[in-house]
Amino acid sequence: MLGWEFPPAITGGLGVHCFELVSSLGELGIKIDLYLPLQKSAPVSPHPNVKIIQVGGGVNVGAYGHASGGFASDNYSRDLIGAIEDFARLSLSALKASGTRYDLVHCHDWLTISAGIMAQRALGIPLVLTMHSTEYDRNPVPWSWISGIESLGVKTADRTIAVSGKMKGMLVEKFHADDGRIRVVYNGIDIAKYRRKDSGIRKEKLVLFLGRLTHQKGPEQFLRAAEKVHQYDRNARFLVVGEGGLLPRLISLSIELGIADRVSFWGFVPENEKRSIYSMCDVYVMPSVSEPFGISALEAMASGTPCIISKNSGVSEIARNCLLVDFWDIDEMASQILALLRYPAMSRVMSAHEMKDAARLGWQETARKTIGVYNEVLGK
Amino acid sequence: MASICMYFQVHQPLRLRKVSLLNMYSGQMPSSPKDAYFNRELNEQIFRKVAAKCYLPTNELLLKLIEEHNGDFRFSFSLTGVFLEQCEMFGKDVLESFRRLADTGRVDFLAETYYHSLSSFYRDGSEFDAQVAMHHEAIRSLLGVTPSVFRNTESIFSNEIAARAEKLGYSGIIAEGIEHTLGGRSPNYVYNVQGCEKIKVLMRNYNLSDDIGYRFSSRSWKEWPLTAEKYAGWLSKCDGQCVNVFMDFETFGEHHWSDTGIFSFLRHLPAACLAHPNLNFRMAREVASWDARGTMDAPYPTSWADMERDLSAWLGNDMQHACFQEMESLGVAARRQGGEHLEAWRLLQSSDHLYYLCTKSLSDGDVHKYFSHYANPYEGFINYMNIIQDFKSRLGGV
Repeated sequence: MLGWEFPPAITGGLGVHCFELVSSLGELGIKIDLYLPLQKSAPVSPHPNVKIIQVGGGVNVGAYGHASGGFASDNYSRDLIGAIEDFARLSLSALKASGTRYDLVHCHDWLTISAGIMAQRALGIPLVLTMHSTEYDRNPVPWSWISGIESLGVKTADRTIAVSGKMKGMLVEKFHADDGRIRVVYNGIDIAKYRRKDSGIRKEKLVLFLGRLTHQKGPEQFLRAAEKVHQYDRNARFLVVGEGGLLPRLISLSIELGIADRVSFWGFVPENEKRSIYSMCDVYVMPSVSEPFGISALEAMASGTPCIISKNSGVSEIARNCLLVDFWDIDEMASQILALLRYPAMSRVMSAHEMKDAARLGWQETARKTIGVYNEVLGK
Repeated sequence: MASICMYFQVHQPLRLRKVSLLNMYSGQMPSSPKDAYFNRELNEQIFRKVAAKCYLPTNELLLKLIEEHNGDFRFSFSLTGVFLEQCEMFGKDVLESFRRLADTGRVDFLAETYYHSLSSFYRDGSEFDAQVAMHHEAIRSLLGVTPSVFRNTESIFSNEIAARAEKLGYSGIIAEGIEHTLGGRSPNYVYNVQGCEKIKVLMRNYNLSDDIGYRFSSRSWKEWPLTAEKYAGWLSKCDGQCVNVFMDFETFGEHHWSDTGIFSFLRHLPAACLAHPNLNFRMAREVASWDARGTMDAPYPTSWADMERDLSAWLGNDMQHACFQEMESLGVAARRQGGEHLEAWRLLQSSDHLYYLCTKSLSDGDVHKYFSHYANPYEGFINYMNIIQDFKSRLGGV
C-alpha cells in the first residue's frame, strides 16, 4: 500500500483512514507493506501484519492541509510537486529492492497515484485506488495538473474505491470514469475511542464546528447560522475548532455579525482533546459545501452528539439519524440548531440512535469490503 | 359456514405546513391557526390523487358488485372525521360515492374518534367521548347510517376501551387478532370482552387480511399472483363463524396500483366466494349480534400497527411522548377558548403526526417512511413540536 499522511502526522481523513484500514486489514490476516514518505515523527505499525517502510530521506512531506488550503492554483508549492514525484521514484526503487512478490498495489488519492501507476506497470500487478476527495471538492478553481492525475488514476486503476456514492458520482461525472470499475466503501469508526456524550449541566449550550477552516468546510455558513440562533437563544455558545487559511476572515465576520463574544476559536486541538470536545457539545454542525465523506460526522455520532450534516456530503448517505441541511440554507440550519437546543427529547433520541449507527460502521466492515475489492482484481 | 366480514379503513391525514422556529420567532405566522398549520395545497393535491386512483374507481366497482349480487355481497367502512372534512373541502364527488353505497343498505359504517386521535389515552375521558359523539353524528347526518360497531383509532383495543365503547352504546368493537390476546384460540369467532357486559369483539384475521393488504403485489411471495379463486378457496377452508378481513381502503389502487391486478381481484372476489356454498358476506353490525364463543382479555392496549401490534408506532420514543403530553396538556385551555382554537387543537391530535416520529428500524421503519412526507422522524418532530409550541403561545402560554 502506498500512503501519504499517517499518524502521528495527521491533518485529514486520509491519515485516519490509512491507519484504521491497515490495522483492520492486518487483523483480518492481510499482509501489508505500507510505503510512506519519510516523516519527522516516526509512524508506528498498528499490527504485526503491517510493515511500514519510509522512503526518501529529505523529502519534505506537505500534508493535505498545505496542499489544498489555498484558493488559487499558485498556492501550491513547487516543493509538494517535487515531493510527489520523488515519492513515486523512491517508492518504486524501494518496492523493487524489497524483493517481495506483491499481489497488488493499493494507493490513495492524487498524492500517490503516480507512484501507484508506476508500481502497477513495473511489477505487472493490479492497482486499486481509493479516492477520498477530488480536486473539484477541494478547490473552487481546480488545478488541472492535479485533476489530470486523478483522471489518469481512475482510468488506469483496475478498481477504484470511492468513499461514498457521492464520490462515485463525481468520478463518473468529472472524469468519465467507468462506473463498472468503481466500488463504494464507506469509512468506518472505532467507537471504543469515543466518549459518550456527557450530560453535565452547563450554563451555556455549546454548538460545534470542527474542521479545517477552508471554504470547502463551510465555516462561514456556520457563523451566519450562529448569528440567527443567537438572536433567539442568548444562551448558546459557538465553538470553531480547527485551523486554516480562513481564520482571519472568520474572526472579522464574527465581529461584523455582532457575535464575537459568543464565538470561541479554538484552533488546532489534538485527537484526545477533540474527543472530549465532541462529547461536551450539544450540537455538531457540518455545513460543508462539498464533503466526499466527512469522517468527523461519524466521530460526533460515535460520541452521541446530535448532528446537523450537509446534504452535500458522503456521510449523509449513511447518517440516517442525523438532521440534513443544504449548506446554503442558513435559516434552516439555524432553525435546526434552535430545535436541538430547545427540545431535549429529540436530542436524547438522536443521540441514542446515532451511537447505534456508529457501532454498526466499524473499520472491520470497511476492511472486509476492501478485501472484496482485492479479491475482484485478483480474480478470486 | 363462515361469513366473510370485510371492513375498509378510510383515512387521509391533514399534513402540516413546514413551520420553523425562525418563522415563529420572527412573527411570520398567519393569524388563523388552521391556515398556519395545515398545508391545504398539499392535502388537496394528495386527496385528489388518491380519489382518482382509489376512492372513486373502487367505490364505483363496489356499487356494481352489490347490484350484481343482489345484496349477497356486503361489507363495512370506517371513515374518519378528518377524511369526511376533506371530502367536504376537496371531494364532494367522493362523499357522494360513499352516500350511494350507504343507500344500498348493504354497507355498514363504523364509529371511531372523529380526529383519528389517541384521545382514548387522555386522563380526562371527556375528550374521547366528545370525539366519538362528533363522529357518530357526522356519519348519521352525512350518510344516514347510525353506527353500532366501534373501531378505535388504528384498532387500538383493550378491556378498558371496550368498556367505554359499551358505555357509549356500541354493540361491537374491532381488535387485532394477535396471538397473545387470542391465547391459542381462533380469530374467526365472536368473543365477549373481560369486564364488559354485552359488547362483542371482532378479531382481525391478520394473515388473510395482509395477504391482500400487504402481500398481494409482492412478486417474491410464494402465492403470487393471488387470484380471487385461490383466495376464496382459503376462506372456504377456514373454521369458525366469521373471517374478519380488515384493511386500509387505499389497498385498492394506491398501496397496490391498478396495474398489479388488484381491481380485477376485487371484481372477481364476491363471485368466487359465493361459489363456495359454505361462504357468505356479512356486515360488522350483523356479526356483532351473534352469540359469543368465549371471552377475550386485553389488559394492555393492542393495535394493528407494525410487528409489535402495540402502541409503539405512536408512543415508542421520547419525542412522541413529549408531543403527546404537550398536546394533552393544552386541552383545558383549548376547550376554554373554543372556536378555531379548539378545532385546531383537535385536528393536531391526529395520530399520524406521532406516527411520523417513529424511530423503529427494519421493515416497520420503511412502512412509516412510506406513509410520511418528512425526510426523517426528526424533521417531523421539529415541525410538529414547533407547531405545538406556536399553538401554546396562541393559547396564552399555558
